[in-house]
Amino acid sequence: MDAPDVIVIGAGGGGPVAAKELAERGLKVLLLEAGPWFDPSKDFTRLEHDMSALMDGRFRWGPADRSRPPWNRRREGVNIILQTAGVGGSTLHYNGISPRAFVPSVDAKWPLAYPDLVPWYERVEEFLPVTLVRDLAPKDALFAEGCEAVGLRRSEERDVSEPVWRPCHNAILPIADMTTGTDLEGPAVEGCTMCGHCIQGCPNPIAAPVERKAKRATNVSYVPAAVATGNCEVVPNAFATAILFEHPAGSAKPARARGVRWRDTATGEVHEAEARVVVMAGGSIENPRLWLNSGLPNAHDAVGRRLTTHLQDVVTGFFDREIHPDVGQVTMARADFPGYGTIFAQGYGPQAFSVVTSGVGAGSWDRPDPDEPWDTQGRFWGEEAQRRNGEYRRSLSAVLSTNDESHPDNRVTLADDWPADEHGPVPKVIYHATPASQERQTWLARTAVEILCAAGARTTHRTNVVQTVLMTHIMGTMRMGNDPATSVIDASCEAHEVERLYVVDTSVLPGVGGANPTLTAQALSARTAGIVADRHFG
Amino acid sequence: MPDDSSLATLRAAIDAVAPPVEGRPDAPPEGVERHVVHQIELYLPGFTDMLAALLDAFAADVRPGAGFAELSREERGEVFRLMAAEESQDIREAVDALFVFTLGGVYSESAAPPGQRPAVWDRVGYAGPSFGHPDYRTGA
Repeated sequence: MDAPDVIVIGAGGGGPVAAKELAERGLKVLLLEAGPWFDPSKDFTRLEHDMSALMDGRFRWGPADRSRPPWNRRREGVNIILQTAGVGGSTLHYNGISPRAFVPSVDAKWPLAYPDLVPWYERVEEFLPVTLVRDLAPKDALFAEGCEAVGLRRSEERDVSEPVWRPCHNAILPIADMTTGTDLEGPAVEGCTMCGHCIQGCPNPIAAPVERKAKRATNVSYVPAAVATGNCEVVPNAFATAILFEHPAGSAKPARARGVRWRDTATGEVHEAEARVVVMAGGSIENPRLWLNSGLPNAHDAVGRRLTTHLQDVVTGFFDREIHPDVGQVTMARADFPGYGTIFAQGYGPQAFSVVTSGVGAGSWDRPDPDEPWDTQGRFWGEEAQRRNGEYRRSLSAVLSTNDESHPDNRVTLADDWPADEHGPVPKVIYHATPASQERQTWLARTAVEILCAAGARTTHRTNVVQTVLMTHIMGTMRMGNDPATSVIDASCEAHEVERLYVVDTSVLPGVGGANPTLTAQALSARTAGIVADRHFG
Repeated sequence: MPDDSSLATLRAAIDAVAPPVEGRPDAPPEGVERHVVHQIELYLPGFTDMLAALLDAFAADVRPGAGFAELSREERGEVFRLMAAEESQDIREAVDALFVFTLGGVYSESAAPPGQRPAVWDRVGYAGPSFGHPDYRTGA
C-alpha cells in the first residue's frame, strides 16, 4: 500500500477493530501481522496437537514454517505462555467468552468511568455479535446446577457488580437449528454446531464462508470487514522490529511516531512504511519489546511494568455419570465474584485434560493437603494417573481466572542474559504472584470445589498452578493512566511521551477484575479509532 | 540427534509418566518417543541430552550409583518428585516439559500412525474431531 494514513501493528484481538473502524471512515490502513493468515475451512483440522501444540502447532507463537523453532522468550516465574501468531492472534484459540469488565474494577483503577465504556462495548457486541447463550451443553448445565445449589443468583446482565452465575455472553453465533440427522457438512447450516473445538480454531459450519464461521475471532469478523472497505491491506508474516520516530521541535512530547520497520519472516526481507499515525496492538509482551528495541523515550521506566495474567488455575470434578466435556461451546456458563475473579466451566479435549489433571502443578496426587477441600492436587504419574485420565468423560473442569494484583516488578523487559533472535533482543517476562493474588486464587479454588461438590462431584482435583504459571490473559504492560510515572498511555490511548503513537490491545488495561479481557480491549480499540480519526484526520 | 543412552533414559521416563494401562499401551511407544524428542529439540536443541543427564543426576539421590533407567517405576516417580520441588525454575521446567510432551504424545493424534484414530480416544471416550453435535443436550 502506498502512503497509508495509519499503520496498525498486530492483527490479534484489538488491532483489527481499529483497522476496520478507521478503514470505514475512509482512511488507508496497513495492518501488519507477525504470523500467517489461515484459511479456517482448510487449515483448522480440529486436532489438538496439530492446532494447539506449544512447539509446532499452528497456533503457536512462531513463524508459519512449523519445521522452524517457535519464537523464544526469556521467562522468570512463568512457564507456559499461550499466545498465537497469526491473523486473529489469540482470538484464534480463545473460547469466545466476551464478558465486560467488572464494574468496580474499572471505576477503581481506570482514568475512565465505566459508563464511558458502555457505548463502545455495545458497538463491538453488536458487530461481532456477542450474544447470550440460550441453551447449555451438559457440562455447563451441571456447572449451573452447582452454582444454584450454593446459592448463587442467576443473571443475564452484562454489567456485573456482585456475585452471580451467568449463562455466558459469547462471541459465537447462536446455536444452529439442528436435529438428529442434520447434514452438518451441508451449506444450509448456520450458526454454532456445538462441535467443542473453539480452542482449535472453529472451522464450523464447515461449508460456511469465512465471515460466517461460528466463533467470531477477528480473522472471521473484523479483518474481513476491514478488507471489504477497500481501504485496508493486511500483510501477514510481517514482524515489526522498530517504530520509526523523530524529535519534533516545539512539541510537548519528546518524540513523534512516523512509521514502522518490519521483517518478512519467510524471506528475511526488511521493509519500512511511513504514516501519520502508528497503532500498536502486538500484545502485552511484544509491545514493550518493540518500544524498547526502537529506542523510544521511557523517562519513568514505566514501559513493560505491571504485567498481570489472571493467575489461572483449574479445579476438576469427577462424577458418577457422563458429562461429555467435548460437547458444546467450550465455555457456556460462568460464576463471577467481583474482587476475587471468575470461575467458568471449561470443556477440553483429552490432551489438554490430561495436562491439567496430571501434567503440571505444585505437589503430587499422593500427598493431599488435609487442610484444603480438594481431594488431590498437583501432578499425577504412573498407571493410576492414566486410569484417572480415563475418567475424562465423567469430568467437569472449572477454570479460575483470578483478579490478580498489579505490581511494578512483574514486567516485560529486554533479556540481556539471553541471545537475541532475528527480530532483535528478546523479551524477558517476569511474573511472581503477590500474596494477595495467591489468596484470591485459593479462595476461588475453594469456591470451585464447593460448586462442583454441590453439583454431585465424587472427588475433586486442583491443578495447583502456583509455581507453574500458565499465562493466558496477558495484560497491563502499556497501562492506561493519567500519571506518566505509573502508566504509558493516557485516557485516549495515546502514548504520554510519543505523539501519534496509540496502543489498542489488552496491554493497556489497568485491570478487568478477572473477567476475560478481549472484549474490553476491543471496545477501547473502537473508541480509540474514533479519537484518532477526529484528532489527526479531521 | 540425542545419543542412545539419552534415548534409553527418556524412554524410561516416558514409561514412568504414562505406562501401559493393564498391559496395553495407549499409544505406540516408538511414536510417543519420536513425538517427545521432536518437541524437546524444537524447544531447545540438545535438550534431550541435558534432560537425560538431569534425570540421571537425581536418580543418584534416590538409589546411589544407579542411572535413571535402572530405577523401578516407583523410584523414577521419586525422581520426578525431587526435581519438581527444586528451587531452580530450569529444573522444574524440565519435569514440566517431560510431562506435557509425553501426555501430548499419548493423548493426541501425534503419535498414532498417520490418518489412524488413536486407540486411547476409545479408552477415554473421546469422539474425536467433529463437525458438530445436533443432540448436544444428551452429549451425542
